[in-house]
Amino acid sequence: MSPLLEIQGLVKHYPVGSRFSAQRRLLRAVDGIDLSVSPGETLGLVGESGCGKSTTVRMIMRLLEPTAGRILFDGQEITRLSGARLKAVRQRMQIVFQDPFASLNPRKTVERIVSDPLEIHRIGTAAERRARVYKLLQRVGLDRSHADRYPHEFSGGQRQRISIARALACAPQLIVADEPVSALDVSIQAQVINLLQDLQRDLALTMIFISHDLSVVQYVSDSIAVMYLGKIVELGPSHAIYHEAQHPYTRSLLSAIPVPDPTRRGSVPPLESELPSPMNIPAGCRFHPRCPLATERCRREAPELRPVGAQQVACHNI
Amino acid sequence: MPPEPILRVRGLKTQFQSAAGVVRAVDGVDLDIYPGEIVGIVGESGSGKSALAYSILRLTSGRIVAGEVQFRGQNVLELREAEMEKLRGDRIAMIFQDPMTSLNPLMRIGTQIGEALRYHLRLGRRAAAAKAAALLQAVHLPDAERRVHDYPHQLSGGQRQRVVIAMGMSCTPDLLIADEPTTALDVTIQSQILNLISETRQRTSTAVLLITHDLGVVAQLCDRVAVMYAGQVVEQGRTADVFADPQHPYTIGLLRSTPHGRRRGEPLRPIPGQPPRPGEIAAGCPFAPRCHLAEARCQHQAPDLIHIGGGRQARCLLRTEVAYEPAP
Repeated sequence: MSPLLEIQGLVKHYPVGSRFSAQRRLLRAVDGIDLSVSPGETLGLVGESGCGKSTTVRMIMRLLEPTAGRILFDGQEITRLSGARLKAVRQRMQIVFQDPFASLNPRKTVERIVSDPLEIHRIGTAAERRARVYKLLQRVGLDRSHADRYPHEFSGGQRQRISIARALACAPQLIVADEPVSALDVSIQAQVINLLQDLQRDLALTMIFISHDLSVVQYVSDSIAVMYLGKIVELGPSHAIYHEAQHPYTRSLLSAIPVPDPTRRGSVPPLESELPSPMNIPAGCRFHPRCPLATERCRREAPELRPVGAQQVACHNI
Repeated sequence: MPPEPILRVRGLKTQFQSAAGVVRAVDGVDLDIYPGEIVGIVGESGSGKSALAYSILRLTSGRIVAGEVQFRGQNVLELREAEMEKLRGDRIAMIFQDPMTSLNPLMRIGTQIGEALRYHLRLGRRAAAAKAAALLQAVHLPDAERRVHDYPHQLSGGQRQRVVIAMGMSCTPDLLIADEPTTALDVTIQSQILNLISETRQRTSTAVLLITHDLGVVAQLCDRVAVMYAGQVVEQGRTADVFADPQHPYTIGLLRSTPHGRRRGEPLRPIPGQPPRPGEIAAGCPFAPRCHLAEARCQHQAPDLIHIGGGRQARCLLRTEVAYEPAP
């Protein structure tokens, strides 16, 4: 099946410092990544803060201009689209943000929030839009009596349901969920994850799910891409990444997740030191200063992704 | 004979006045902490876990209306403010989720740590500076001797939390209260900080009260755990026992709703509904509206926290009370 979304050599660099300064440097947020997502599939993007996962999806949504690379949506290159043609594509992909307290306008009613995308894209009459809002609210587990209320009257989990209803309004093909449950309590997280899974199945949605929590990502995703300092270090089927991770970074990330099982207390020593700055990316393999397996070659030569077992791994020593 | 608890909380109630009425943030909490153990308080937002910590230190902005907080046999609720100040930072230290809460952005980190040493231990300037550097080394701050001259903004989030831990441990307190100390950090840094807390406890036998929403953190680090819901402890026991065989329906629900180790497609079993909003606690068991086991009596009869054997306690009408026995 041809992919719904494909990105090739995607790069985002930010110049840092004064335009006239000799010390002007580049912050390499995303440094050349390729990905593809098939229709109806969920791709999980994981990595720690600063690895470039949010920048990547913001470029896919065309909220940020890529420095280089191509984005193809449903076979069409959308990297340089603008005006009406960009608007037409945007209707087909929507995003759900992490913080349901920041992503809903506090001065609009729920009905206005959810019907905004319909108005922007001039879909339906006023009566049809209202009917659609009621239907969407029901679909995400709220009801029509909520339509006239304001965001502050809702809990975090309910607000995230409102965000999801808004994202679904124009019947998109692709949903990007950027840490959609990270701000929620455990008992509410499970409700929202179940909702996203049901919606995906019933509406045949394609999804990109971002999280720093590999245990959530493995649960919702078909495949997983692990990012480190702007690069993909491991890519493959969710099950393989979670159970047979190959890249030393993926392994450390997995062993760092505190398992809710006291009989399995971590014996693996935690990763040493901290993430280097994306303004000062190490030469060779960018993970080598923290890597337990690093050799001389890793200090000189950057590894490319290559097939290992069911997945692709960027490491010289696997 | 079992050792005396270092901290013994009995019937603690803290209330806030809000536009909606009285909010019972801490609603009758009993808790014991023994020397050298790590006790986790786990609960969701609004469960009262942070209000409990602040009440123990008498730093809450709410009103403590009832109860006792015995620290080394002394009720801290009866101390004068000056005596309380001597206790805080010396015998009881606290670290917060956001390390900048406890760091002065205008002061070099070495000087800040030294300040506590000079105040509580009456060290001279030079001795305090030397001890500060040693403390930073003990929390594995890379390049500690040079970093004492850094300002907080020159450090990463994980490094700042190390500095705060060094500061908290500076007078080797009997009790360290840590309120979500790793929630703002990435997982790999979180695991470093959790290791550090565990290592520090082993080295100094300081008891730790760790407040978290993360069941994984509790499972990995805590000797005992108290689960809070709507301002009350609903279950309490040794971590291994509580995770292996949870006795309160809320604990059961929490453990079931984590996606950990579950396969794709297998639906999660969330706890239905929402926690009660602050101030809207009705008669009966506060968890009854969400409970899969609730019976008619749960709607109007409030359960007590009872001993259920093996040193464990639960607050549920469906559990049978047994005579108290200490944990095996």
